[in-house]
Amino acid sequence: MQYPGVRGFSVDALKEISFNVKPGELVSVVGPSGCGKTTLLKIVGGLLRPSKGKVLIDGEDVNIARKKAKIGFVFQNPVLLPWRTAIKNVELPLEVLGQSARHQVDPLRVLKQVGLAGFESTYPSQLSGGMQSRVAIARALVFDPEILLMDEPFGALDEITREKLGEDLVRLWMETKKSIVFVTHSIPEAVFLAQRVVVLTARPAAVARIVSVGLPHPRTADMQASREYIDRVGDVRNALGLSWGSSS
Amino acid sequence: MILRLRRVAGVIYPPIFFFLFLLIAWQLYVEYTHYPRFLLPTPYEIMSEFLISWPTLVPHFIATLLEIVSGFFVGSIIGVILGIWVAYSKLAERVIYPLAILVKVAPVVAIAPMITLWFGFGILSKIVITSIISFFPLVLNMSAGLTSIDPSLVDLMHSLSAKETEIFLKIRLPNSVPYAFAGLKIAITVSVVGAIVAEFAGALAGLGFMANMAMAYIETPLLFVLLMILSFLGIALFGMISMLERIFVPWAAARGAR
Repeated sequence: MQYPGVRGFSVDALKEISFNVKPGELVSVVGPSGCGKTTLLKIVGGLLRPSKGKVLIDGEDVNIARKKAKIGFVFQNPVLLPWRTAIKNVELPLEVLGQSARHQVDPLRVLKQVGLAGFESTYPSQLSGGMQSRVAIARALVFDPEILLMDEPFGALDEITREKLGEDLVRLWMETKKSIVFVTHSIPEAVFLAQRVVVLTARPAAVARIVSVGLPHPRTADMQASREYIDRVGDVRNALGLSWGSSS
Repeated sequence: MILRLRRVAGVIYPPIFFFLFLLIAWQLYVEYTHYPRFLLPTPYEIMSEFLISWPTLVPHFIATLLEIVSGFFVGSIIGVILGIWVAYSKLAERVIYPLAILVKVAPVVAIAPMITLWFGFGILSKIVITSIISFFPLVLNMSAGLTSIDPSLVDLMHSLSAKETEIFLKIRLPNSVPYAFAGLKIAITVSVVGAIVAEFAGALAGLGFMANMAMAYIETPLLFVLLMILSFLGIALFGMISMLERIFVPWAAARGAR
């Protein structure tokens, strides 16, 4: 997969951005607030049309890929439908896609995959924030997309839940081998979860640097004390123009 | 179970006791001050009047009830349709809102005689007046309900290549149900007022028609009886809408259960 140059609108939302994502890769995108991460993600997913450049999935235009239901989205706000139970929420994409849903996963199974077995018949208002995020992820997985695009999916959650969900996401990724691009504003999260970190500059965003994280998956919490991890976080911070202790 | 009963009792007892207290105070006040009965009858007199006259009031009750319910239905349906149109068309929004506000703000008491002139003394004029009164809350609420969707949800639907009809049926319409019910609750209460005002402007039957006569003949106890019946009618109708709401909006109840 390849995302060539992309540019923004009457206000320059994004500058020249170009990067590739290999199949089955877990890539995070990190950048200062308001730099256009969400815009970038929407362009990558075919929700917005860039004023210049294009997005190619496996060589074909992203809109074609989108119609083939190859792209799944998870937003910062789980946006579940409050009048539907968890399982009915997960089934929503299947209803919408109808015939275009080439591969389908059993909604019950995917709920189990995100750790919500037994909660099929609960309403969103009865679920905690973390659980709602899980349902949103399940919903994005139910039609078996090749690519998962996540926009700060754990942004509204507390630290402990974030960590847990991050681990679950990595486990899910290793099970399903999907390509995942997820946007975050948390540097530690970006480095800890991903194989590569795309660092964006402030608006209008351009790629400041792409940092490869050389730690094996599955990653354990103690890796956060490793030299590699600390160095990578330092690289990202430097690319963002943030200082790192006393070194310049 | 016992706890729920006690809680319900705690809610019901105070107003009942207060109400009874008021009634007794009222009765004693009128009797002891020899207050002119034609201005303020005692609760006892009112009850007696009710027991005597309720058979004759039944046809009038039915007439008014019919006016209220039909006007409410027509008004609500028009309101919903306009609401949908306004949500989808900026042009409609700019055209309909000022018109609707104009219609709503014009005092019903003033336009009712005109409508009665046009549509006669029968039930038709009452339905027209009541619909005019009750449609606006639904235009507002319905269009709010259709448009207050989280944009991320619309994005999600677009990412699945959903068509607007699908978005409407699966997302916008269900989302607007609680809003619509809020509008319906307002509409039903103003429909009661509308029907009565309409009858004041000229009618052949109905509780408002009877109220007019009661005023003309200074039959004050009868007037109070009519007021009583109307209040209970309003409460009953409102209660029915609330019950329907609980059926159609179960997820709000689920939240309350937390």
